[in-house]
Amino acid sequence: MTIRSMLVLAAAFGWLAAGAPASARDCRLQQFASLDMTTEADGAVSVPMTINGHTGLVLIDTGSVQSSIAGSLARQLGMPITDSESTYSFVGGVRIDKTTTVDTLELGTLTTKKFPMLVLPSKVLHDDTIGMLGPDILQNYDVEFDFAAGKFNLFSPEHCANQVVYWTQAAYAEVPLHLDHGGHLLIDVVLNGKSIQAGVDTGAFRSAMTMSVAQSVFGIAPGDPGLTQLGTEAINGTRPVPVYHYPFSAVQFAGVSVLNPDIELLGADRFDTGGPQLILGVSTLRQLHVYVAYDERKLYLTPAEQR
Amino acid sequence: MKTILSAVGLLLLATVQALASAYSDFNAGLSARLHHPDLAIGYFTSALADPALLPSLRPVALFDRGGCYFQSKQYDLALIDLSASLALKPDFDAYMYRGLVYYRQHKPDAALADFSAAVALRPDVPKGLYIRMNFEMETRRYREALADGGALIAIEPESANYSLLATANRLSGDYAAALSAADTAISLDANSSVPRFNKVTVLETAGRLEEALDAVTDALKYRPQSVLGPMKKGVVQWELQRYDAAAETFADALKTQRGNAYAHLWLTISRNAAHVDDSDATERATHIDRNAWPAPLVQLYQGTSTPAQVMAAAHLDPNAESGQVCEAEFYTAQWQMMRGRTGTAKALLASAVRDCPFGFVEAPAAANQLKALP
Repeated sequence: MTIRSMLVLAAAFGWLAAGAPASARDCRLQQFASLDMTTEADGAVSVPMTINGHTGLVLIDTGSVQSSIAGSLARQLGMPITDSESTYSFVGGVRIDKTTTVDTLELGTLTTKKFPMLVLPSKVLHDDTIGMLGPDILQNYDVEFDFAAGKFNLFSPEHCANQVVYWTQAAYAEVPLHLDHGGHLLIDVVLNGKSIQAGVDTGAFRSAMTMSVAQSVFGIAPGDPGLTQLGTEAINGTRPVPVYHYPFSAVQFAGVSVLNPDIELLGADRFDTGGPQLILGVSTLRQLHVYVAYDERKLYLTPAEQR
Repeated sequence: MKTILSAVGLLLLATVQALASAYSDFNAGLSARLHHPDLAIGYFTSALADPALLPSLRPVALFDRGGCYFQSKQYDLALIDLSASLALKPDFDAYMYRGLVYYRQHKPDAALADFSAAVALRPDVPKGLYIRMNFEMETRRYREALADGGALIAIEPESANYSLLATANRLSGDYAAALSAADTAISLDANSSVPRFNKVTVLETAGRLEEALDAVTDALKYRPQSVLGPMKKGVVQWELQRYDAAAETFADALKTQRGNAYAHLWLTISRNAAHVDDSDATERATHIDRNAWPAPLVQLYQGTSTPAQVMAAAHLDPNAESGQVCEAEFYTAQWQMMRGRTGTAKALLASAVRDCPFGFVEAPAAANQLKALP
């Protein structure tokens, strides 16, 4: 995302917090929206959004660059589609270079006008979704994924530091968060005893790592007895890539561990894009209750069912 | 350090609360569904048996378990789960999937009803129109297919969809509209061979065989390593009764695809028509998989099988039946032609014209041959 568009988006959604400023001494969370999360057949999650009066589900995708609409819906609604200023590529190399402007966008009780969205080819979307909710919107809030209860909550980022874990009195993990230029969530995790950088990507339904990372960091090479080929997958509708499974023992997040994490190893060079070494998709994230404090640069985690 | 367990490890959570158990089983099912459907069926069954499973996850678990049953070809069980999922929540994918189950069960009216329910639910999703359109073409509902093609292009004006519209126009006999759509498809994906090969079929079906030959030569420039391309070229040469050239094309194809049974059959057919020696046929056949279709056809040509045995073999796999029956009819017709039994061959060709799926190279070849025969 460009700096320009970030400013535009901040302005677009900024007014939504008006009237509800958090006092410096008021540590209560100010909830802006609480939406029912729909779980897709592959475990990904979506929430209802209304675009120009048309309501449908949008995939919550912390790994995308900008919120987006299905090209087919944009055409059906007669929305103008133009070339975007920047060109983006989805995992696998799917090119995104079209944009449109939505007259009215509604997310729960939140509303904005004249909002720019990328236009997506249908092959990168779930069939029952009409678009993606990306970091351009998400990073204006604190974002909570309560997978076990099926709730997606948005809070004001104005609150006291380190006081967001309201759903349990038990201990929780507090993980430092780095945001890249696209608003992507990057954290350090320990996988099988080795510290690596991971991207938290709710748009990826499986956690994934390339074979080259598996080999260079973990010494997992073709012929390793623990490595099994699962078959092939056409990720984002691109040509199928061989995928492998390796029995990693645990991924650790500053105090919380997921044992036997389900991580796919992708056997194709085109996925080596210089991004994080591990993509943490919903197959792993669904085991957790996740609270993303974008402004605070913190990720708060507990086991998904912990209350 | 807290520890939670995922996927395989979830089974160890013996003392967790009911919600945790159902949720954990559900998650384990999600992880297993793609590559271990049998394992996933067990997880989803456990999750569904637990009343604590979140109501919003119940239709998903039913849908996914139905999908796993489908993968393992247990269509009756898939139907039960997908219907139960739909009863809880009308869903585009569940309708499409159940339509596919009906299709596999040879219930075309029920399949069409479900595809239509999916399209009605989400008219903006191209896949629904795309699949229904293909189904309509296969079941010869060309008027409906053309309508879907128009709707599809309105929401997704892409090359592949124009190619599909070209096919619908071709099948309905409107060759001018078919060529127009095929040319638009080429213009939208100018560096691809795919829409060009589609245009070849339009020209071939329209009987414009010289142009079809030029078009296939042009298409091959964009994909010199194509497997389909040389086959298409050889068939058009054969239709033009340039049997020597056709034989040469199929022989070249076999140099890089020794196990290509179809190139082997066409080489024999073309050489026979050209009165050229085909004595290496027995050696060529040794490279062809004897346990998979179309091995029975190869055996027919070798003299180790009969037309009746070929037709019986064609019916063995219900999922591939229509294509195999088409091929059995077409290649047995050629076998009969080689023996001078033109009347028998014509009857088989007429059956092939009726039975061949629209995407098969044998479909236009059979129609053109019938027209050319006295």
